[in-house]
Amino acid sequence: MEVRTTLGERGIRRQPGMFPISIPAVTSKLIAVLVFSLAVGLTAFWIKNDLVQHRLITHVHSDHNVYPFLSVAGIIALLVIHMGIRLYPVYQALTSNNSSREAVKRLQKYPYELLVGMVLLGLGAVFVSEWVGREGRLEGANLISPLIGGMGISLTIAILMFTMVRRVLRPVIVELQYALDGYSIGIPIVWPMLITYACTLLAAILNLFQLTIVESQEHDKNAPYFVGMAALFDVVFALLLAGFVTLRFRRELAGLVRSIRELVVEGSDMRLSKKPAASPADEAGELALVFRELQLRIEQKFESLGRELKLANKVQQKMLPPGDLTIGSYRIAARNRPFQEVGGDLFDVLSLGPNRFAVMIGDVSGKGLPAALLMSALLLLFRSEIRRNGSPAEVLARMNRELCEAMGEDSTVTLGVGVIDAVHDTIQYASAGHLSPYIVHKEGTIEAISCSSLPIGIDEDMKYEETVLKLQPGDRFILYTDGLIESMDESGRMYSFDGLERELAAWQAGDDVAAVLDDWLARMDASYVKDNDDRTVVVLELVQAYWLQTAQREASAVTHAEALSELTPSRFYAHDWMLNSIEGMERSVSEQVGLLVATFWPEVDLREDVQSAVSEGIMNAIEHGNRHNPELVVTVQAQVGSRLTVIRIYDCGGGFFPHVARSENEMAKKRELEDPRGWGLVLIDSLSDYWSTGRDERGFYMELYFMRKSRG
Amino acid sequence: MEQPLVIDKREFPGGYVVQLKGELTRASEQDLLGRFTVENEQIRFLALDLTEVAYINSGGMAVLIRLARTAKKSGTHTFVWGITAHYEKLFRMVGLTEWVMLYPNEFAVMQRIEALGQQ
Repeated sequence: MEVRTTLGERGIRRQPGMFPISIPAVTSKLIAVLVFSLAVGLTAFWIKNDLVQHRLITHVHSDHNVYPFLSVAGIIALLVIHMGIRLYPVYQALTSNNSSREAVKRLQKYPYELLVGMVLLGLGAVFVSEWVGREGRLEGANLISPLIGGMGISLTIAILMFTMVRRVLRPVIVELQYALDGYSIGIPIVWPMLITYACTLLAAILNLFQLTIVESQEHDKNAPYFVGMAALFDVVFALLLAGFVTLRFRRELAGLVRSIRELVVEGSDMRLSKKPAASPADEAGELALVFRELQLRIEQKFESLGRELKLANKVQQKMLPPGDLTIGSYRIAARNRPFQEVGGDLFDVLSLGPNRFAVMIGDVSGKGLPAALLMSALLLLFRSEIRRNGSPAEVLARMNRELCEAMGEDSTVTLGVGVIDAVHDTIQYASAGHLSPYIVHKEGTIEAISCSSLPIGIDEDMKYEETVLKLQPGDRFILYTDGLIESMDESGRMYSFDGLERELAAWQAGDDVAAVLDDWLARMDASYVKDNDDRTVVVLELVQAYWLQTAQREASAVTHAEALSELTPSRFYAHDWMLNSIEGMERSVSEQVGLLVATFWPEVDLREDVQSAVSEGIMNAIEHGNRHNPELVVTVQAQVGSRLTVIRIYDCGGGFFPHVARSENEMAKKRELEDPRGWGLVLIDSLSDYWSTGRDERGFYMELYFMRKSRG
Repeated sequence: MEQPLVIDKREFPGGYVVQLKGELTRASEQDLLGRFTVENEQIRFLALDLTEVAYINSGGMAVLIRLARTAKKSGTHTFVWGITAHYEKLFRMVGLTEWVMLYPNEFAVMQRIEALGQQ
C-alpha cells in the first residue's frame, strides 16, 4: 500500500530525501501573501480614514504626497529582504534535497519574527510619515494618536501575514520534519491561536482608542457620527479578522481529520468506514471518531496478520519431521524454536532405504516471512535431491546450483547434511558454511568436526568437502544453528562455543537424549533471554542397548532369511486397510486380516493368532505412534503368500525401540506394576514367527511374519 | 466401534458371580476396577463368566491382571470360565494364570468353590 498523507487541501507524497516542494512557487506565494496583507490592511485604513474625513493622519490625504507609496514599497522591500535572509538556509536545504534542523527551526520561527517585524516596521513608517508630513516638527501630544493608530493597523496587517504565511509554510515544514524523523522546536498549537486572538483584540482596542482621541480633539458637531462609523468599521473589520483566523485553524484541523480518514478508507474495506461529514461541525469529535476508526483498522490488520502468521507457523512446523524419531538403533531428537512466528531454521530426517537415512540442518539468513518461505522451498528441494541419490557433497552442490540463481544476492543459506549408514554406523557429512557439528563420545570426550566451505547461494560452481565419521554405540552427533551460540544472557554475555562445549561435556551417557535436549533448552530459555534468532538443535544417538539388541536380531534374521528364501512365495495376495486412530477400530481390521489368512491358508489354525497380533500392533500404532490423534491414520498392509504372510502396520509417529520382556523375572516384574501395561509386544512376540520395526517413505512400521505351519 | 462392557453381578454364599458381556479392553478399566476393588475385600470368591466376551486385547488382560492381583491380596480367589482356547493361550502368555484359575464352565467353578468352602 502506498503511504500518502494530505496536508490541508493538498496531497503530498512522503518520500524521505526528496522534497516535492517547488521553491519558486513557495517564494512567490510568500511575496503575494505579504503584498496582499499589506494591501488589505492599508485599504481598511484608507476607508476608515475617509470615514473620519482624514482626521487620523491628515497629511496622507494630500494629492501631491508620494510618501505613502514610497512607505509601502519600502516596507515590502524590507520584508522581502528579511525573508531572504531568514529563509536562505531553507532554500539551500530544499535545493540540495538535504533536510536540516536549522531549516525547520527557521521556518517555524519565521511567522513570529514576521509578526514582530511588521509591527515595528509599521510604527517606524508612521513615525517617519509624521516627521515628513509635519516637516520635521514633531510634538509629543500630536504623535500619540498616529502612533496608536499606526500600531493598530500594523498589528492588523501582521496578523494577516502571520496566519497566511503559516499556511503557506506548513507543507514545507512537514516535509522537512518527515526527513528528520519528526524534529520540531515544539511550539504548542495554542500559542499561534492565543497570539492571533490577542493581537486582533489589541488592534481593535488601539484603533478605537485612536478614534476616541480624535473625537476628543474635534469640536465639529458631526464628529461623533464620523467617529462612530469608523468605530463600527473597526469592530466589523476585527470580527472579520478573528473569523478569518478561526477559519484558518478550523481548516487546518479539518484537513488533518480528512487526511486520517482517507488513510483509514484507503487501507480498508470502504463499507466499514463511517462516511465523513462534508464539513464536520465538531472537528474535535470527528478527530476522536476517526482516530478510533484508525485504531480499529490497525487492530483488525494486526489480528489478521497474527492469524496468518500462526497458520504459516503451523504449516511450517508440519513440514518438519517429528521431533523424536527412532530409526534402527538410532534415536534422533530435534527441536526447532523460531524467534518469531515463522523462522528460517530447518532440519530434516529422511529414510533413504532399509539401512540408510539422512539428517539435515540449515539456517536461512534473515528472519520472518522471507526467510520462512525460502526455508520451505529448501526443505522440499532437499527432499527431492537427497532421494536422487549421491553423497551429501553432491546433494549440496546440486542444491547450490539450483538456488544460486533463484536467491539472488540478498540471502544465503548454510546447510549441514549427513547420510547415516546404519549397518556400518558411519556418517558421511558435508557442510555448506554451516557451524561445525560435534560428536560426544560415550566416555564423555567432545570432538568438533571441521568441514568448512562457503554457504549456498554464493558461488555456483562451489565444490563441497565431505568427511566420513564412525560412530560407536553410545556416541552422540550434534548439529545446531548459530541462534543457539549467539544467545545472550541478561548481562549481554554470549552463550558461545564455550557454553555449548561445557553443556555437551556435562551430558551423561545412557540418559534419554530427548529429555537431555529438553532440559538443556529449558535452561537456555530461562537464562539466555536476549536471543534474536531461531534456535535449532538436532541430536543423533547410536543407542548402545538397542545397538546390541539389533545386532542380535540381525543375526537371527540371517537364519530366518535362509529359511525364508526356500519358502519365498511365488504368488501372493495383498490388501491394504486404513483406519483412524480411535481405540476400538482395530478389532474390525484385525478380524478381516485374520479372515484373509484363514481363507488362503484354510488348513492352518492361524486366524485367531493373526487377529490378536494385528490387533495389538494396531493398538500400539494408535497409542504410541499416533498418540490417539483421531486425524492420524494407521495403515495396515497384508500380503499372504503361499508360504508366508507379512503384515505391516504403519503409523505417523517417531517410532520406538522394540523391547520385549522375555525372561520370567521381567514378566513377573511387569505384572506387579501398578499399571501392568505393555502386554501388546509380549503377545505379538509370542504369536508371530518373527517381527521387526523399520521406517520407509510411508513412515514408521511394525512388520509381523507368520509362516504356513500349524501352531500345534 | 468399541462395544461397551456390560457387567451383571449375582451373589452366592461367599462370593459373586460376575458376568461380562461385550469387549474387554482398557476402556473397561474404570467400570470393572471401580466396582470390585472395595467389594472384594468382603468376599472369598470372585467368579468371572466370560462366555459372552467376544474380544479381549492386551489392555483388557491388564485390567484382569489388576483385578485378580488386588483380589488375591485381600484373600479372594478369582475363577474364570467361558474363554476360548485361544484366549486361554493368551492368558498363559501374559501370566494371568498366576492369579486366576481357569475352568471350562460354571459347574466346575462352583464345584471347586464348594470344595474350598469346606476346607
